[in-house]
Amino acid sequence: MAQFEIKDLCFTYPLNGRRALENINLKIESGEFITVCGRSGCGKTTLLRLLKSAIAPKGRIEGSVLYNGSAAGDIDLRTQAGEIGFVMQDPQTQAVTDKVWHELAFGLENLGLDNSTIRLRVAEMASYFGIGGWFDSRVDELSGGQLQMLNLASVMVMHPSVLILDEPTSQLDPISARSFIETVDKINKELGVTVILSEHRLEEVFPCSDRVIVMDGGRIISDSSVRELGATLGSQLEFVRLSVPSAMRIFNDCSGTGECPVTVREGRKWLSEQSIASKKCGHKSVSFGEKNAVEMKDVCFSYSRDGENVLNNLSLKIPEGSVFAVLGANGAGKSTLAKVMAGILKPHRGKITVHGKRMDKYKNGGLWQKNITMIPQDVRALFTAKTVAGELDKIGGDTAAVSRLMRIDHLAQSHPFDLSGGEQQRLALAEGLLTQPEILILDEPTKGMDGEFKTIFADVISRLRSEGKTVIMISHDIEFCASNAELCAMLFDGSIASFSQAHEFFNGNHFYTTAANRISRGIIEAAVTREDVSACVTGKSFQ
Amino acid sequence: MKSGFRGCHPAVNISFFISVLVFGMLLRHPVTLVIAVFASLAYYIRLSGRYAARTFFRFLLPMLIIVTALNLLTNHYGVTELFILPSGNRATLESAAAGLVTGIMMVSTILWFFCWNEVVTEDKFMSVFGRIFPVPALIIMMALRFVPLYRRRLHEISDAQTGIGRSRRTGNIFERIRRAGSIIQILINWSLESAVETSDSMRSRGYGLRGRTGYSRYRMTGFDAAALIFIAAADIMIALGVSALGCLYNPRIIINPDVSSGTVYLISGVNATVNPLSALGAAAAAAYAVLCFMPLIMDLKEGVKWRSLK
Repeated sequence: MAQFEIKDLCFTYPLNGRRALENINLKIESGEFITVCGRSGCGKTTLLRLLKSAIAPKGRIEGSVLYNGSAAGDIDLRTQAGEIGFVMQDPQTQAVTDKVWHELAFGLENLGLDNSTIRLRVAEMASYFGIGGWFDSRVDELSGGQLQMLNLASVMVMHPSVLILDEPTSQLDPISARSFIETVDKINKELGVTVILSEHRLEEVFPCSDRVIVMDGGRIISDSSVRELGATLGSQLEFVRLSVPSAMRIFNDCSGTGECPVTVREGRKWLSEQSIASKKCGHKSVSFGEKNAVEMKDVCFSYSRDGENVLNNLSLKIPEGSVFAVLGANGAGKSTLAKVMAGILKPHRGKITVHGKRMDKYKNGGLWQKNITMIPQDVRALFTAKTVAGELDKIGGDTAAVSRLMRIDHLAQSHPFDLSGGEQQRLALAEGLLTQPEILILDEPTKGMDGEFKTIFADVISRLRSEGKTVIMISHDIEFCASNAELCAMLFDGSIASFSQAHEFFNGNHFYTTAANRISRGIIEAAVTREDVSACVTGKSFQ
Repeated sequence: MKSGFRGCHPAVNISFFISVLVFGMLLRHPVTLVIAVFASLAYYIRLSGRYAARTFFRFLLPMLIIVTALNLLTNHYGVTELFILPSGNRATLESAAAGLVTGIMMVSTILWFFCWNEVVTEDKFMSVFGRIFPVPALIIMMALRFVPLYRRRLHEISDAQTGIGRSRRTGNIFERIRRAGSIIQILINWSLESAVETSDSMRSRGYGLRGRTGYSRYRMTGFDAAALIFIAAADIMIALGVSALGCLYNPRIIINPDVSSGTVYLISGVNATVNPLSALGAAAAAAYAVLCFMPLIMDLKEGVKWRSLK
């Protein structure tokens, strides 16, 4: 008997009568690792939540969801709480209590276990997850990565047999995301817990997955193993092709034969066996004019008078008309740098000039009038109107064209807070474009974006560049920066550790670089993006 | 984990503080006042070092003087006249003494509260409070978590609005007010939205099931139990002796008034009566002294042990 059996499941939301799911048929065996992928708003979240009736959305359900042979809706809440673990997207809102140790104990308290059992289970899980070091900390002191790990641990402490994760890494940086996925994989392999995971970022998830389910428009359009998917990639939808790991994509671009590589290691092995048309990848060096959009000189910033400097004698020149990316680990001060560049935070030392004029000479908000616009990391901080259309009308301009461009025209009447993470991101970008800035600063713009929209977004960036605008991205998305940024800087310890043209930057790094570069290192010289590698192998151009 | 008295079970900590605070307010006997003020000051110095001494001299000592002086200037009862105030009222020894007593009681109470702050951390308080009132305890704890979260979110929203040209520090006054209003509106929307998710997360982890238990990280050891029994015994002893430790400050100062036998000392030149302490009163005062110095004794004992182990 399958652990979950879904038969002819349809689901309709009561308010707008929209069919979110249509004829879903799915069997999930105990111990499987299943990845569900699809564009933003394809019904992934609805499907995952229907597996656990305690948090299922309200609406009309047709068909059936069986858990161990009995209807999911009939399973009593105690069994559900213990056996079906659920981890959500936002690390902050899931945590209930104020202390790490209490968060771990929360679920067990609800189940009514006695003190000594709770003590044992909490101790066990804290050791398994390596939480010992911050066991006593306050929850609001943790980083996003730590917090999401805590959320996972406080679900695992209840010893579930199924773990459902709804885009758990969409708010995390790549390094925390990787270690989170590794932990989920470990739980699956070592404890035999069934894992059902929805994700946009597939690079890390694919190697651990047994099966990949692709959804589109509320239907399952493909259900296969990773290697089967790799073999049939040509016939898959565009967004699947754009989201799969680099090794698979290069294999597909080069019309490779044999078994499809998934990991970097397999990719290297496969690549070394190929005959390669050109062993060196050429890059055009881009040059910029003399003028700088933003120039920072010996800037120091600290959040409190006695606090440590977050930015420490940072100097940086961003040429006018460039696409500039700042990379760096969590907590390196990237978001702080963005806010300082945007004039939101004032440094206590150093000089910043914008278009050759000192920043403090811009009076009465002139800095932010068609000059600098910054889109924050958490875009929910922007939305004041009740509808998407109202949100755009507040700024004015050619709202129709921009919302078409950002593919949010069909959402005009929705409430901004009802959109999925990726759609909210698009709305925020639309607002940013409507303000028509000379300098657009984006903090983690690709967060929650699916592979397909990233290519649209890349076009938007290159169009802004051709209009002579400057785009500054603060990003963790190495792959995106490698293909779209011209200049890259690494922020470390409050100042710029390295600054160069994008291809030099990624070739110089060993670990903090693209998967394509790691695959081709030592085989093809100076290849950074997947397109570079594919082009070098086949001798054709891929852009 | 902290050592000494701070390392004890929260029940020990809390029952200790309740005992000393309650008796500190009931007992107005000079002996017990001296015990209380010395014990609380000594323990606070042990907990906070030089900072404690600074607080004592900068804040508590002036307060003691002010309270005494205020009482002297506003109350005119008593039989021993010291001098005549410019207003024509009498300043009496009795009202000065009563002021001093009140002042010392306040000082030692405040000192005990300072110590409470160091010893009974939020965690400890919640673990005991959560045992008795599980639901309010959970609500308080969630509120404690939400305060810093919302404060940070407010900053984030304000920064985000600035970055898109809607700074609440630019524009005319009406614009500023409107912008500040929309910042609050976003905070509310956002918080309601995240509250839905938090409640999903709680339900998903079985909140609302019958028979919720409260987990406490603290385990009662034999030592803790002994300490609790000791506190209870001391409490009973002191409670029995409360009336034997009576004092009057109005209209005359009479220390230990209800002792029928024994010598009566009259302080020469002062209209005050000091009777000798009865056996019961002495026993209660001794119990009070041991109780008040208990944390310090525990800490010092462990300190000696550390030294001998080195």
